[in-house]
Amino acid sequence: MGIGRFDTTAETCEPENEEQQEWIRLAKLGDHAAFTLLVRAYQDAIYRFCLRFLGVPEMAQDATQDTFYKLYKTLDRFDESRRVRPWIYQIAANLCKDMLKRKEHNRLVTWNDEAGPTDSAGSGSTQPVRPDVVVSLRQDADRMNRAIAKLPESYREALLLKAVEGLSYEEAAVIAGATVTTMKIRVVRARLRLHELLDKHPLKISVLDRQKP
Amino acid sequence: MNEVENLIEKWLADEITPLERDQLAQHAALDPEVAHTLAALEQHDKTLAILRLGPAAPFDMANAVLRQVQNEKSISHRTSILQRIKSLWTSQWTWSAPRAAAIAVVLLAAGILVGRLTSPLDSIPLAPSVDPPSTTVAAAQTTAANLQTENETQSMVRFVFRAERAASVAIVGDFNDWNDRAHLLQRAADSDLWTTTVPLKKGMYEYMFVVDGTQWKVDPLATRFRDDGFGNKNAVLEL
Repeated sequence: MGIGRFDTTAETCEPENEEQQEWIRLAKLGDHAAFTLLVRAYQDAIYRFCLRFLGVPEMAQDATQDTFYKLYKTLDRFDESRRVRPWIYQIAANLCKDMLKRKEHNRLVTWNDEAGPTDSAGSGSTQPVRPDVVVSLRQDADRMNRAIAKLPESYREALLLKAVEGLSYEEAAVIAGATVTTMKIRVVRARLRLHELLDKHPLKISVLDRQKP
Repeated sequence: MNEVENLIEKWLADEITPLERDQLAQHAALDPEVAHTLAALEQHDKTLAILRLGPAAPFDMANAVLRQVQNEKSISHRTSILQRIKSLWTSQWTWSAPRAAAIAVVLLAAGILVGRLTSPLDSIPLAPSVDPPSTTVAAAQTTAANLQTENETQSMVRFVFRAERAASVAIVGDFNDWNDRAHLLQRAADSDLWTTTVPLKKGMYEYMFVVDGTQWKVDPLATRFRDDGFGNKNAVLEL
């Protein structure tokens, strides 16, 4: 069998470019049109990140709006030599962690990407009739969403930033306030935990028994 | 940890070398359990990448945020007028003719701007008077009482900063939109200690001190900090 990795790290979504740096520069001068372009470039990515981090659509909406509100309020302090994308994710991650702490929200609520939240205990959600492959992918995504919701918060953050959103380990480390090595350990353990949760006969790997980073 | 586990970890962390990749493939060829695990993990890679296509934001966040900022400006304007009325009422003063006329004019202006949002102000007499009628006094008292009720849900938080040669020290944070003119600290007499008290509701706040309007200083006495995204740390206060 081949062990080529499916590429999840390529920055194919929301690539950062000179145009975005220009939007930031103009937004800092009070240009609302430039701020609007910047928000629209990132709002979908930030919403899905918050949704998977928090597990509740209503909380994710609030966290996403608060992220861009905070972005607006701190624009004048942003160093334009830094990259925009990790900065926005950092604001979002910090807000999500605060919300989880404040609300002590740890219940497992998961969702169907199309139909909204579903009970984690229920195994089957109503699926639209689609070609087999699409249905299969959708089911895989739903199962994965439910499994991600069961990960410890730090593992979930690392996995979402690196494996889903495609940020680099260096960027993810800055966002989470941890070292690159710690982030790698968290991603590996998150992946192995998902293997345990999702697969019938997971390979028992001793890493899971070791101390948490 | 055995060799296979080590190789799988390296593979998942994107640290595997081509030689190690071949070794892992050999293990998979010999052991169906390892092959099963690798196939499952590869499938997870694909699924995680699909999640990137997940749900879109439910509404336009740009419009929502810009509306929020606009509303705040309008609320802040109203609050500022109410606070001015309160300070006029609570400061020590006598009923002199110019002062009575001044407060009546301020209350009139507030009544027009605040409108029906603050009903006690609706009954303010329109004409300034040398001897303020009792209705004017009652309106000011009610306003002060409303503010007091609002304050009861807040804690008074005292901020202290040590600065020997500073001309001014301000506290900025989430609670005042990082406005360095909102809360200025006062220097204690014959001391290098600067203090102010800020009413804050329950919550978590990031803050910094600003010395002489330009130097941003982290609170050296804070117990928690958070990276501010600009290469510095903000202090964090939790109430």
